[in-house]
Amino acid sequence: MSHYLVRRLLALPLTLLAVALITFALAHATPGGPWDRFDEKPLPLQAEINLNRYYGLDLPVHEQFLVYIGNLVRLDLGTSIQKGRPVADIIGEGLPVTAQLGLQSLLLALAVAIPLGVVSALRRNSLADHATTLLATVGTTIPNFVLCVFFILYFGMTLRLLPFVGWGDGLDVRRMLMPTVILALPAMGFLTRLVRSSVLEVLRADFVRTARAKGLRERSVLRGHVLKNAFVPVLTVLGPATANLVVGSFIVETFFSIPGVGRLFIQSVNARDYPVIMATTLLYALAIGVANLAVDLAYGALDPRVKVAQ
Amino acid sequence: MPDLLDVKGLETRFFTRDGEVHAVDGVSFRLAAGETLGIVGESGCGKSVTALSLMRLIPYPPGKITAGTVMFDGQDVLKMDDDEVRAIRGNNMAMIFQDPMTSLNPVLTISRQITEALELHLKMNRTDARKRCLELLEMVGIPSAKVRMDDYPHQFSGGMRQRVMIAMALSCNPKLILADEPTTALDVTIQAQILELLKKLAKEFGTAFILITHDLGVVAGMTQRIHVMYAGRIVEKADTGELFANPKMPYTWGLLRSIPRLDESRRAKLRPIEGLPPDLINLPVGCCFAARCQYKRDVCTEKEPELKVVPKAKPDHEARCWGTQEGGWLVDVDYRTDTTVMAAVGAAS
Ligand SMILES: Nc1ncnc2c1ncn2[C@@H]1O[C@H](COP(=O)(O)OP(=O)(O)OP(=O)(O)O)[C@@H](O)[C@H]1O
Ligand SMILES: [Mg+2]
Repeated sequence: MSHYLVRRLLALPLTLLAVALITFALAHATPGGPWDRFDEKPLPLQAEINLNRYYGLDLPVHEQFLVYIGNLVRLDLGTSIQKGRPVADIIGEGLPVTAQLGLQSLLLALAVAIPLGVVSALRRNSLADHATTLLATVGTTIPNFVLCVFFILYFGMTLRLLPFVGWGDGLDVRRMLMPTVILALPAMGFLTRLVRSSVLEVLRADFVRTARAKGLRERSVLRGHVLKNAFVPVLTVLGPATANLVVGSFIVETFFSIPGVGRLFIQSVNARDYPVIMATTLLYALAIGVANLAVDLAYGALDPRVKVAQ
Repeated sequence: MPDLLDVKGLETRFFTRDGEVHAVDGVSFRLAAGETLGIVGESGCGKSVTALSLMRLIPYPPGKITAGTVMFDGQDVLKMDDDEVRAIRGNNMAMIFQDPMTSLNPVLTISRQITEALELHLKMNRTDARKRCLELLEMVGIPSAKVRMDDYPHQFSGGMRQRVMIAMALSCNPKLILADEPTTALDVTIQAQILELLKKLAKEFGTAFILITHDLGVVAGMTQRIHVMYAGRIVEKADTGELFANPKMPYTWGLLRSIPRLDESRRAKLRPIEGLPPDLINLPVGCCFAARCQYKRDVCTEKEPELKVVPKAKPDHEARCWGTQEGGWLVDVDYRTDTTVMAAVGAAS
């Protein structure tokens, strides 16, 4: 167990290094640069040369990368080209918002998916079952940005029910409602269907018949024998689900002007703000890596057949 | 003394998209307390469905018990409400399933799966239940049971798991155990051990058991009586010794011929029964076995024979066959010396 943990923890920095390399290469290979101005006069050539020298952009790309990694190891994320402030500070402001949005959405997705999936498995063709089908279809087929536009137009502008700009202090439920729900919807739809099919499959298992043959009530069979087994596949998708939430957060934060890491990432890409691109990408990679690790550990705890030690 | 179990006219059907599957069709039999019975027949003849029907464990939908009575200990199981049935399951009537690999819950410890029934039916607390669980595991021969009781099923071999299933079945001192092919999924050497164990423990506790198998060889030394099933019906009933010495129904002959025998020369081929069992959705008119029977006559495909006491046999020997009934053409045929089948096999090959 501890061996495994150590190995996984050691693998994480290597993964991050690979992510850093790829991101760095892609960011610099993308045409355009931080000094491009579309709306104003272009910068004088000499100013651009000076700025490049100041930010170290005059070095060959591979040297820039080494410098970046060297700074990163010393936990120096650099300075934002666009904002002129330390990247660590900017991220520090956005992270709590994004983390709250992501966790809230994941919890909301699970809080709906688990009961709804179980009930629709137990009562097929009931109202709950039809709701599951609808939710799964809507959640997984309609892209986030369409939902954003629709929610903002309808609930925000037409009905004027909910505010749709910004995030507030993290306690403003009405303001957080739309972005949280929209971000949760795809995971919710997917997870509900997964819970349903997983429960259905376990219900057909031989050991459930054994449990019934013991004389257990249906409720005890469900609680003691079905649910734990049914959650194993659900747990395994929580890693990838986190990755999807990450991608969703780019869109949702941008549409709702939420000052989080997702919007920051989009802004930094548009501005070719290399240090911020690198920092946000690495942060997301770290989040996904940690989520996968947590899922694996929980998986071992839930299913004794998974020998984490090997 | 009244019978422990008296099944009359049991009928279980599955309502599928293709039609009604007549899985069990008018099965009747009785079992005294402490008695042992073997139910034998080919795959798909309704053995498991019969056993599951006795415990009302048929999945609905698609399955449904459509007729019959199952008197167990003086009460009709089929008329009980759900609570009453649950009070019997695992308590007075327990079941051992075919596949020990899948019949135990992979995420619960062995001990938990045994103590569950003890806490439920015998109202034991955790500590007493664990004590009893340890006793049970030692009784069924789990080595270092004390250490291993908190293992998970995947840490046990197939044979060990089936021992656990036996311990589980015996846990509440049932009056009847239904063992549905308890050894089919196991190695031959393990099979014999498990059967011996089952027999020994059932005898010790005076537990009646029904041993279900597709292999007549398995029940030979195990049960007092044997019922042969075919296409959802019982086609022959006899004492075990009588059935092997004096079988009456051509289907039983077929089963007996397909057992490998040590005393036969190696060149003598095993002779499986030719053809396939009938479609349980569209049952044929007449005897269900007629299509595969080497001895059939016109009457066999016109009208279904009843299960009747056969002449020239022990009094409780019954068979469902026109040929073996009083005045029938098979009454005096001995399948071992009869040449009809030999000729047929010769002609075919
Ligand atoms: N859930 C079900 N749905 C539809 N048909 C079923 C179902 N369960 C059993 N049957 C049918 O009932 C018949 C009897 O099945 P059963 O399982 O009792 O056979 P068996 O004698 O136990 O055979 P085996 O030796 O293979 O275990 C089979 O023809 C099968 O197709
Ligand atoms: Mg079976």
